[in-house]
Amino acid sequence: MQKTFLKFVVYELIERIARADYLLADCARMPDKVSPALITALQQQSTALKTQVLADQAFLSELFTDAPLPDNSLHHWLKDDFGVHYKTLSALSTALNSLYKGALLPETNLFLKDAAPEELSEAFGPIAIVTTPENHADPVAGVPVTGVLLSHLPLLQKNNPLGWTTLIQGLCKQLAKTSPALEAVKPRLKKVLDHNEAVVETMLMHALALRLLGPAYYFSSLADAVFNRDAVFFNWVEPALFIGLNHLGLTSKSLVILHEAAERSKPVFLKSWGAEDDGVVDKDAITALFNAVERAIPDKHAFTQKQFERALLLQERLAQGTLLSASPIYPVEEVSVYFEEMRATGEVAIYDALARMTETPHTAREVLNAGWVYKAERAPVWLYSTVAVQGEDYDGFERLRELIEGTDILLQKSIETSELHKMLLCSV
Amino acid sequence: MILNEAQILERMLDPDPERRIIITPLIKPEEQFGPTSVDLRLGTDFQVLRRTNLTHLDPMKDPDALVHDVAKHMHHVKVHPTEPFILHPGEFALGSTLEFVKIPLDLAARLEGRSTWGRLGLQVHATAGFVDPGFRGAITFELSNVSNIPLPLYPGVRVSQLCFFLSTETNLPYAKKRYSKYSGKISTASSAFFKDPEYARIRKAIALEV
Repeated sequence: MQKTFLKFVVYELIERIARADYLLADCARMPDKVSPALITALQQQSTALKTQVLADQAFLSELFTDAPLPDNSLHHWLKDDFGVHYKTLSALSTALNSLYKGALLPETNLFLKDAAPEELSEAFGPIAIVTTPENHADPVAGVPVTGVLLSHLPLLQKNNPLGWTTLIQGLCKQLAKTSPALEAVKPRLKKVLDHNEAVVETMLMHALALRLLGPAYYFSSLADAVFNRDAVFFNWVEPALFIGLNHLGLTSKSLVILHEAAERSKPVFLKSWGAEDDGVVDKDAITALFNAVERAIPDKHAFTQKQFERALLLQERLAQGTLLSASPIYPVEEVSVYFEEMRATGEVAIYDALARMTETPHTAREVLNAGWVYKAERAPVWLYSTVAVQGEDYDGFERLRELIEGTDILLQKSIETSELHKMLLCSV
Repeated sequence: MILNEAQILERMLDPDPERRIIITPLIKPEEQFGPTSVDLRLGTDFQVLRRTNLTHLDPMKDPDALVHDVAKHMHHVKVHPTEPFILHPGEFALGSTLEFVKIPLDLAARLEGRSTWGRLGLQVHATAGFVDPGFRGAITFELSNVSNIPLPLYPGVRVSQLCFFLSTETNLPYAKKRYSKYSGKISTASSAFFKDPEYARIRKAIALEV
C-alpha cells in the first residue's frame, strides 16, 4: 500500500520536472524575450535534477518489487532525497515564474467558465489568474486586492488541464467566508478541529472545491499536499474529502485504492515532516459539513454523480488518444439495431438514423475527471517505463515528456472543442 | 468503390471497433452527411508562414537545428471559437479539422473541399488530400485563398468533406508505417519534411564527399 502511494508521489515529482523542462524549452524559443545564456544555465540545472532523481535506481527499483520496503528507507527518502529534489524544483520554478513570457492558454478560461459559474463568482468581481512558483500557495498574501477574485495557478501546470484545479480555490475561499448556508456548520467544525479557525476555513474551502470539481480535486489536492508538506491536509482534510466523495456518490476503484494507500502512508509522511499524526475524523461532523456544502452549491453548479459516470466512460478514449469532447447520445449498439430494423422494412429513413448519431458535448469538468482517473490508474505504468525500462536508444524521460505533452494537448483540445460544440448546438 | 451515406453510417456503427469509422465530435450529422461524403469542420489552430531572415530551409542541416528553423518560419495562430481566422488573397496557411478521425484498415479516404467554399476561392488542400488506411487524428488542411477578397474562416464551419473508398485490408496502416510523421496528431502540425530518411542519406553522401 505504501508503494502504491509512493509511486503516485514519485510519478508526480518526475512529471513536474518534465514540465519544468518543457517550459524551459519554450523559453528557449523566445530568445528575444529571455536571455539564452540564463535559459541554458537553468536547463543544465534541470538536467542535473532529472539525473539525480533517476540515479537513485536502488530505491526506484524497490517500488516495483513485491517485497515490502526495507525499514526506514521510505522515511529516509522522504526526509532527505525527496525534500532536496523538490527544493531544487521549487527554486527552478521560482526562476521560471519570473522569466516566463508565454501567455496562459485560452482553454484555462473555458475551464473556469464551467467550474466557477458566474452566478457563484460574480459577487466577488472578475477572476484574475496569477501564476505562482511551486510550493507557494498564496501569491499575493498580505497585499490588499479588492474587487477582483484572485485565482492562482502554479506555472508548471500552465499547459496541464489536470493542474488547473487550484484555480477555483480563490472562489471557494470567498464562498467559505460568505455563504449563509455554511454558517450553521462552522461552530460544530470548530469544535472538532481543535478550535482552530484557520483549519476550519481550509476545510470549508477544500469541501466546496470538491463539490465543484469532484474527484479531480481530490487527486490534485492530495498530490499538492505531499509537495507542500501539508500535515493539516493529511490529518484532517484528506479523510474528510474521501467521506465527502462517498457522501456525494463520486467514488471509483482508483479513488478507493489511492485513499487507502494515502491512509497507510500517512504516519511515515507526517513523521518525515516532523508533524504529529493527530487527525481523528468525526464522520457525523463531516457529513453535516457536506450537507451544508450541498446547500451552498446547488446541483446545477456542482459536479454531479451523472457527470462522473460520463467521465468514467472516457477512459478508453484517453488510452487511444481519441478526442473526448463529446459522446454519442445513444449507444452505437442501439443505433445499429434501429438502423438494421429500418433496412429490414426496406424503408431507410436516413435522417432519422443520422439524428441518432448526434453527439452531446462533455463539460470541462468531465474531461478533467476523466483525465485524473486515467492518470491515477496509469501513473505506475508510466513511472515504470520512465525509471525501470532500459535499452539502447531508449530515453524513458524523453518518452514521458512526449506522453505528457500529447495528453495535455488532447485534454486542452477536448475542452475547447466541447465549447465550440455547445455553441454550434444552440438554436437560432 | 466509394461508400454511400448508408455504407458510411454502417461502418460508423460497426460492432467491431477495428472496422469502425470514428468521426468525433459529430455535432449535426443530418447537416454533415452527403450522398457519398461526410462534411468536416474547421478547427481553431493554424500555422502561417512568416518572413524571416533565413534564406531557405536547408534540409542538409542537422535535424535538431532544422526544427528551430521550421519553428522560426511558422507562426502558430489560435483563434477563439467566436473569432475568425482571416485568410487573405494569395495566402497559404495550415489548419486542421475540428474532428478526430479514425480510418479503418480496409478503407482509404479522400479530403475534398465543399463547392460552397470553392465558389469563394477557398482551397482546403494543395496536393495531399489522400488519407491512408489506419490514419487517426485531425486531418491537416493546406488552406489557400485563390480569390481576390479576404475570407473570414470561423472555427466549426464545414469547409471540407471526406469520402471513403473500400480497399482490401492493409498490413501497413498509417500509424505503423516506419516513417510516418503525423500519426495521432490532434492539432495543426507543420511539415517535418527533413525527417524523410532520404535526407539522412544525402547528408551522409555529402559528408563523405567532403
